[in-house]
Amino acid sequence: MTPLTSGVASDGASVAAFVDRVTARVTWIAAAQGAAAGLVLAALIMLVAVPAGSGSRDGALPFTLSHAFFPAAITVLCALTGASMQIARTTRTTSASAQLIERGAPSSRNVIFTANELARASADATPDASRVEALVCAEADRVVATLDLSALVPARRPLVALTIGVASVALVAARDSAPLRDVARVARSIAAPGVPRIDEIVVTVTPPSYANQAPTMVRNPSRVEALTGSRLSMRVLGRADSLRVETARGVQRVGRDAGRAFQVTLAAETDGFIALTPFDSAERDGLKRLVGLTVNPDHAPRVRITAPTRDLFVRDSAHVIDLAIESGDDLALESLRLRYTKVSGSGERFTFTDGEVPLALTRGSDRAWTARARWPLAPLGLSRGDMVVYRAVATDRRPGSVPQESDALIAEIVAIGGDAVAGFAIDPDQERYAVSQQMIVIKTERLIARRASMPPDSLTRASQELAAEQRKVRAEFVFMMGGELADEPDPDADMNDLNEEAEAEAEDDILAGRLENRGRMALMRAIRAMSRAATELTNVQLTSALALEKSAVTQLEMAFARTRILLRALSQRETLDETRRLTGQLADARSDRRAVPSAAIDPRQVALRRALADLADPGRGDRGSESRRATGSRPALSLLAESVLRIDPSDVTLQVVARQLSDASRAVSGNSRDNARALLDSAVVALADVARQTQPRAGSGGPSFTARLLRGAIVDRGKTRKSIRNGKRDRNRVPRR
Amino acid sequence: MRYRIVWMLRALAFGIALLAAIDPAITIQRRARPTVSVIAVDPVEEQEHADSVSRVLSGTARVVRGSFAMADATVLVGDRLPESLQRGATPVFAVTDASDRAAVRLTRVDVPDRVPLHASTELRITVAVSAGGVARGVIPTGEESAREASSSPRASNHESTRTLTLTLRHGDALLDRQTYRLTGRDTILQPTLAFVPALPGGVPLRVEASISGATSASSGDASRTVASAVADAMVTVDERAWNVLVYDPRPSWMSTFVRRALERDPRFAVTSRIVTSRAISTTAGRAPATLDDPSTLAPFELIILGAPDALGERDINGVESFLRQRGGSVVLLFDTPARGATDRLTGVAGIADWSMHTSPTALPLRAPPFLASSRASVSATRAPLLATQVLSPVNLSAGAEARLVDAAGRSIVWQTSVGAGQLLVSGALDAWRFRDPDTSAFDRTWQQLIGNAAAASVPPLVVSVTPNVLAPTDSALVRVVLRDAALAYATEGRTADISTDVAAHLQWTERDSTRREPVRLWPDGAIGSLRGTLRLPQLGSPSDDAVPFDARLVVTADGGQSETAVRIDGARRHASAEGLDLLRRWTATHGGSVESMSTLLALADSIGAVVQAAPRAERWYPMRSRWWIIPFALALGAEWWSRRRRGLA
Repeated sequence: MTPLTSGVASDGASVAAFVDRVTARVTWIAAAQGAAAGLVLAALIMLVAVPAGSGSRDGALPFTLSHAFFPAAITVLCALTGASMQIARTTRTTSASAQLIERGAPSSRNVIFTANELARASADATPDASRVEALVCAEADRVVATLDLSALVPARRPLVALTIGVASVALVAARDSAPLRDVARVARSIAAPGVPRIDEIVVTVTPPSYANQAPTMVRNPSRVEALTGSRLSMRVLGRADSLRVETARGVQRVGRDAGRAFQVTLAAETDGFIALTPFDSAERDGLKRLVGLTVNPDHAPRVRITAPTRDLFVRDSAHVIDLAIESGDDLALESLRLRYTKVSGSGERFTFTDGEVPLALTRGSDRAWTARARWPLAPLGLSRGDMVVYRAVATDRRPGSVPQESDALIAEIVAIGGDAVAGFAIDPDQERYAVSQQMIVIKTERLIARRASMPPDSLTRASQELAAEQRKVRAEFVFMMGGELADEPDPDADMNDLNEEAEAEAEDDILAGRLENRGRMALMRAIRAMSRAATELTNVQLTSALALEKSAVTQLEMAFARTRILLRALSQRETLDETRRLTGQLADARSDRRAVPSAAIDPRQVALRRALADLADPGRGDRGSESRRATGSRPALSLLAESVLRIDPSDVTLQVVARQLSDASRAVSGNSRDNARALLDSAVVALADVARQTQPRAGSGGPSFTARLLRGAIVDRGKTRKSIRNGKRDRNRVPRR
Repeated sequence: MRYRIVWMLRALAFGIALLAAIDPAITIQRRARPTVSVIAVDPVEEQEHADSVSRVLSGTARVVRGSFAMADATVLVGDRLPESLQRGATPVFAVTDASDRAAVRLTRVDVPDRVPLHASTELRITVAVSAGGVARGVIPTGEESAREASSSPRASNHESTRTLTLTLRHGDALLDRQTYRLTGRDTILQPTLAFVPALPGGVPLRVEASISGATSASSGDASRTVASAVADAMVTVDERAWNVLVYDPRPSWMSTFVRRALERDPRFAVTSRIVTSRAISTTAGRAPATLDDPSTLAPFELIILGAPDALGERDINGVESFLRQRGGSVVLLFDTPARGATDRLTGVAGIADWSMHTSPTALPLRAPPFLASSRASVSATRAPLLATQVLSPVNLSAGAEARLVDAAGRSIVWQTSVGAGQLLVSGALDAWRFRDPDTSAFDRTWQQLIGNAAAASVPPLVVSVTPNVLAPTDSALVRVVLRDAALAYATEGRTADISTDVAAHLQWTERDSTRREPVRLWPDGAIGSLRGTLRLPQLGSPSDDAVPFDARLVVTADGGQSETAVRIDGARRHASAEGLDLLRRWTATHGGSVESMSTLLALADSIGAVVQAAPRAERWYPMRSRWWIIPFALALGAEWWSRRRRGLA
């Protein structure tokens, strides 16, 4: 130890600085350790979560940020998290650092620790104490000067760990890079020389141009999803001279291009599969690769009018309608319009005029548009009783797509004294058959029963409502007849009265004799009775209205009697086939003999059973080892996967089964027989389940012969006892009678 | 002195040699060690246990592996009785670890002998699960392990971590799998496994039940198999279609739509006659004109009667003969509340015994809970049938079973027996109106109901082989019933004009040649019933014993023939209904007891306490011990050394 009288003074600042440096070094070493662990974790996550072959890294397609964002984000997040956690776990106080130094340099005999504390303590010490402190600090300075920071806190191992972490992430991120793929390809060619094979399949899915979507690329996929109309460009690398491409639509043979690869272009139209088989120059085939194809349809756009939400009945044409429309599509909208049809006229003589309302469109995105408009009705020149029927129409960008319409709404100028115009106020789908003529009769009878207790105003209003309903019913039959009857019927008119205008319009039918039948006449009489009943109801003449309503019912019954139930006979003369009418002479009736119908066996069931049989014994005919016979060979499994997918390419379960078989095929080639067996088991169970769902369930076959005889004897015994009991009961009843 | 020692050594050597040449025999009275026969119930599975038992007993008894009638005691190693236990020595002891660990036993596997190709079949399995006292999956192989096991604490709180997995396999292929979580200690489950036939012919199936899960408190291996059981079965997949006659005495919508459903199912060959007016009918196939002649109905397995209220007494008589003498199945499809003359068949007589219900909305009819399948292929959103008018018996008679019931539990479609025949009665009068596949499984339901009824029809030759999977050294019981003869005797007591020739043989292919082995059949009590024993002859080579192969039992009688698939498999396993309980009773009645593997050391004491080997005279040859060579050599050697020390030759 240095003597106390050496006269060297120090305030310990250099010791404190050294301790601070140690603290900083400990901190960044901890950060490096944590980051290393985080990077290894990130590499594992990327290995599992980011499938190989996704993205565009081979230069064939532009590299987008989205492809790199997820791996980069995972890497940074894991590294930061690991570093933060390790720093938090590490004690970073100066005291701990001083202890660390003392452990690394035991010859200092605690003087560094003491000097560090003295240097950071308050300066209110006595002179003697200050001298001692100076001596301690001086001694500490001397010791510190001999210490090597890198030896004291070595960073070699954390740096190695960090390097390993970075390398792991880089290796995983670059596992799809061309050099690594080339290395794998060379390894495979060394392992199996001379056998035609497929090393790599790169599928580029180019959606149709109207979809405005970027092409996507997948490498070695087991299934490809594409939008209808997409173009599938497949680049196949491998050792082969030609490639057979088999799809559900057919087979084609493809040769190598200049780049020693096979280029295949297909159109995605329906669900299916793509089977690729390599051939060498001697026409020996190699291992088949199967790629499932799922084609997603382009859905039609959706459009609806959100305001107004119901039909409008306005008093005059000065009304302005505030319109709001929403539309959406799964890809992109092309247009959104509001079309209307102006209906003017009365009775059954109307004029229809089409038009379009300008809209203020708001394109939130290509997929969702909204539109608003203030639509004044005045320019349409509507008069009382006229109406406009309007609906929104949207189209998407798919060429040739059918415009989709919203529900149609009505805006009507209400006629004086009428709440609704017969024939148009009804939603055809909802209320066409809601009110029948018989119901009008019943309602009228009820109103007559309540007439004495009702105030006159209420009676009038109820009667006029009934008149409106009567007009609705009448309108249905008028439309069925072709709509040539006058709106205001003449109560005194007769069926034989000539309406020259209608006569001229129906001249062809009259000349052809199509209007001469009793059913038609009965229907016309019913309609006229309905007209007169409506008039009576409007005039609150309930009793006479009821008689006319019942007359209409009678005429309707005559019109739709069984002998003329065919409505086409009302407007078209046809020669009826009496042999099909269960009519004729009884003496002509003969027995009929038909062939025994044979059930058509469902081809899907047959295919499922065949696949099950093949799957139950995949190694049939294989002379290999027992384990190989249990799992089958790779070509056999690949063929099975294709046959399963052929059964129904759109069936999700069968898609899963085919994928499992493909995976099993790969597991077999990788000598992972146990894994292949497990995949095969799952595939068989799933396939059997599909087959079971579409088959009836058979019973257990019933009891044994002896048990059957015994059961029959028990039932017979029960019948005998019951008949005896019933006989006694009957005998007991006789005296009472 | 030294010379005397030399002389003595020489005399000793000569004495030993002389006595060895004489080989004297001494008769003594003593207790001999008992001879114990150790039999492994399953030579493969229980081999290690049998070795352990032999090791433990070898110190106190002579152990003979295998059955030995002259032994003083027999020890069975396993959790059940051997399938072919010969008359062995008593007392009988048993050693099992079933009482120590979780055990699973397949007590019953209901597999129909024949299943149609175009339908799926459910195999009903009965599994007995015992949780066991000691959750121990390691089988002890020596004394040390046995001691450890006997002192290990009883862990009984691990049942919730265990799962029972049932699998159905055909060869290596897994056809179905069901997994259950075990919550109770001892449980009996009756799950079902689905079998979807792929090809016609014999199909060997193997059902395996295994319990897996944590095996001890400290063990974290949740996937270890604790116990398992296996049962083999053979099923014949039949492609033949059932002959069905549809007979409508008047046109009936109900019958028409049921017939159309059957015509779409390849399992049925439908012949029909619809009487549309007097002497006028529409027929398909060779349909009989009337039902009063049983001989014209015999070719059909099943008859569907539409509008049965229009049938006359003569028709009903013919149908009853078909049921009783043919053992066929009949379906009555009522479409009006009137029942005509059918009450005699249904056994529900009198208007008071029937109830008629009408609902404004369609009533769903479903299978009763005891028949409902847990693996139903029909969607749960669809009712099997819908109807607004239903006719049902007030009370089902004895022997009748409901097939479809309404929400109030009334039996709308039900089945009863008429003699050996089956009668299915439908009171869903207007179910034909609700055939929308989205709401009702009309077609599927009738295909299943009528398929089951047709399968229950008695074939001309009823042949059963029990078991139908057997080892080359096993024997199987063959039962043959000649339907016509048996039913003629059972229904009419007729025996005079019954004469028939019956022959049976087992047929299989061996080295590309067909081998046949006749099976002798003997009368078995009732007329028309025969029985025989199926034993396999010596196969071509010893290695053939291990190779499983399929054979057919062919039975011919009266020009008819029936073939039943039989599986020959040296490693066959069967379901065992009794198991441990029977073993306990058997050992108790044979003077022994059941011991646990964990208390194996006590087995010797138990045997010693029971087996009192009497003292007996034994001839003892003392010179026949190999140890005499040591004193002989020592004496000669010492004598030679002594002589050399003294310089003698």
